[in-house]
Amino acid sequence: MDLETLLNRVLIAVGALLFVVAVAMIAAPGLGGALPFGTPAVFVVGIIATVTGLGVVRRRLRGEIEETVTPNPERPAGNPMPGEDVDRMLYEMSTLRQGVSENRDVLEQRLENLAVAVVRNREDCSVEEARRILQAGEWTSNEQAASFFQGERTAAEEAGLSGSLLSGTDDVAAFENQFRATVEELIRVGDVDVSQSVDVDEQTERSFLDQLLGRSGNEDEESDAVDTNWNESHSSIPTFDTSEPFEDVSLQHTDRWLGVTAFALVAVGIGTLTFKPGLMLAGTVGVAYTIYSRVSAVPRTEGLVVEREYDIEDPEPGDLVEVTLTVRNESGSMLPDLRLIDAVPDEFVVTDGCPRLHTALQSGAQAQIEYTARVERGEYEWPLLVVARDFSGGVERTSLVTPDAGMRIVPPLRVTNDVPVRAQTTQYAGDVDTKQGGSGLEFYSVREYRPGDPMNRINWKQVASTGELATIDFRQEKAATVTILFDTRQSAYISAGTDEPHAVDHSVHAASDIFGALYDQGNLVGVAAFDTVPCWYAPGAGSEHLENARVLFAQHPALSPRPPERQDHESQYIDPMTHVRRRLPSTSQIFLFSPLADDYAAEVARRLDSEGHLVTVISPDVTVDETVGQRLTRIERTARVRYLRERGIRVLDWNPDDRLSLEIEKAQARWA
Amino acid sequence: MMSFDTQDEEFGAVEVTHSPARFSSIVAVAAAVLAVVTTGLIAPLSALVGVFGLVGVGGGLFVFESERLAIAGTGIVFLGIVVAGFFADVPEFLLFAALATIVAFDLVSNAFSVGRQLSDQTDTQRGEAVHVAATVFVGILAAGLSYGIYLVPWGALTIPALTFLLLSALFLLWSIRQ
Repeated sequence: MDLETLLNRVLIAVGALLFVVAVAMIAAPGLGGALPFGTPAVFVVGIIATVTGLGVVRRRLRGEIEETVTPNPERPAGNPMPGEDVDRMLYEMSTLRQGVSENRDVLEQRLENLAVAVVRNREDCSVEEARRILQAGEWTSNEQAASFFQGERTAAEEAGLSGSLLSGTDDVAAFENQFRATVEELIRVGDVDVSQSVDVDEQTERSFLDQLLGRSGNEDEESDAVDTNWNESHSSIPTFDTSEPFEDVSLQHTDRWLGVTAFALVAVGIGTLTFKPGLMLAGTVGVAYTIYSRVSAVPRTEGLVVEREYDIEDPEPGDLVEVTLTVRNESGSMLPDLRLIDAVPDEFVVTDGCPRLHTALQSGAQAQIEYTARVERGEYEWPLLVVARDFSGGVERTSLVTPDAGMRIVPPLRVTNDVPVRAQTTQYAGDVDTKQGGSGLEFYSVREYRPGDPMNRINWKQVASTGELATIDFRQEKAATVTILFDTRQSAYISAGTDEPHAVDHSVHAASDIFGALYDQGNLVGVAAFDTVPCWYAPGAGSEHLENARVLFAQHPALSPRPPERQDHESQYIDPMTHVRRRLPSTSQIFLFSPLADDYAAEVARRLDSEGHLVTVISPDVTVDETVGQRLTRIERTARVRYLRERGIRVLDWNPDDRLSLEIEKAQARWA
Repeated sequence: MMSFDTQDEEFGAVEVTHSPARFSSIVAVAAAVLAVVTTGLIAPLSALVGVFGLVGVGGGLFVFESERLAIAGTGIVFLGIVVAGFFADVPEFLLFAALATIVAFDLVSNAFSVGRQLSDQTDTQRGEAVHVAATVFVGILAAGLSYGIYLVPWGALTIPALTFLLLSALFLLWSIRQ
């Protein structure tokens, strides 16, 4: 027995004893006369009651109610937007005054690399020449921007870093302005497609809010809610995974009645002090509620039967699935306060309805929750979060009930359109026209007869007119080996907005269509991803291969819609391409899906190209152009696209708002 | 045809907001108004205090969405009752006003709790209604009981007896609170 229980019992005992004495005195009035009690004693008690009551008020106003913090499963986990790192650095510098010199160095370096690429592309010159132009400030007529790259930092500035920290305000503001001006100028010089420049002040404010609350800028209220997403650390649900059909998470006193005692104590106390029976009577209601709050019964949520149904049997990624959840109370007692939240997986987006319900269920009664969700590839089984309270709400029991209703969403790999495959082929017959003569359909050339040529290919007309034997060659049609390669590193999990799918989702959706098309054209198609989780599915053919690929698209951890855990790149850096490069057949063509969010992705394409693979980069463009960081990343990406195209690598710069099939058709005309 | 066209309107995520539950909020404000009006009937001066409290309750629930403000508001409404009791000791009115105030207090905290744990888009009608009913029922029962005891003529409620009675109530309340 701990001290608290002991104290409690003592209090109850003393209280009961006093009550008995009081009743005895009322029953036998003679008893009281002997005691040395008068009005002062009543006063003292009244004062104690009042003071205690005020103490309770203070506790209530200071204290927090303990209750389960629930997730917002309606929305997807917010993925970072491109350029957030730059905005964060600027914010740190200008508002938090942290890491001024480090961030400044990083930003300067980044901008300089970008400027070199832009100038080199425009002037068609060497890197050295581009640097010279930048140093000389000849690249722009905008003085503020030109001076950004001009001159080394003077020795005085290097030495006077502490000085600049002291007078930091102006310095940082000046740097930020110059940075912005330079970015804008690079947009102009590099002829990058962005919307007209945004008002700088508004921009600052927005990026400030962005950073502070992780908001996307324009939908403040809504994205605020994203902060309390399931993934967030302050959610009191410890893990998302529950293998049990029923699991208790917590059972706690909510303390939500804390303070109601104050109504009793203050009213009775003051009523005693002022001899107002009416006030004392009013105080009794408070006493009653105090008792009510402590009379509690643990809700028997283990008796809940939950069933979940879907209107589509076999949904495909992107389908809208209507979910119907039926909750029935078979516990045998009433559940007076049920707060139900269906913990829809992070990858899903609820597009209609609400996966929550607040209700009370009598024994045997049932309730329904209906909502529509946009589903995403993968295999899922998710729990219903049940927060149940008793009548007074004093006790709260939180449990996870997982109905036996898993959902498996596999991409269909349907054939949507032709995909241009280039003439790097295997020895197998297929659909790709090669530059070799042989048997086939399309006329290629006429050559001298060589012994052993099949008779049906001899050009009899020529034999008839000249008497010499000649052989017709047809264009050989062969199959290509194509490897679909994904960039699924952490940096690729970026999206154009909090509700938007991220680049990896766009890539996998597009690729599952392209896979079907390539397969249908008779090519050997494989799948790989560069990530720390190795993903490799060797090119092959056959219906089994297709089926395996579908499952791979749906379930491979490297292609998961959920970003990989943040990795510590500094400590142990393994080139994520190593395992892919080791296995890649030398004649394989590559379809690389990457948002080109960093130089590494572009470098991968370039190196594969130089190793003799024919590379086609399909790059979903998820950059936006509101804050300075976002604009900067857009120019950087544009520069990467140009860099790759310069090297003869096909790049399909794909805006995910447009249909990929149309884009491919357009590009095909360009490439032909 | 591509199966993905994420720009369709219907694909957007639903809105999720967490303001205090509407039904409970309205009943809470109504209860607070009742309390203030009741005290105003017996002691108009106290209604002035009560109106301050009302502003707190209403503002906390509907404008600032601050639980602390709304709870403090119910506290001030109750302070109005104490003032009214000081000037005009009409037990029935005071009892009713106290009941209404505590109901408001409970519903304020429930409205915020439901708003936080669920959302404005959630169907909370039934859950809230049951809670309101339970609280009001308990209150009426308790008030009726204490009024009944009050009406019974207790011949010899001497001051020492009253002291003991109060002390015992105090000790029992302490034990309950823990």
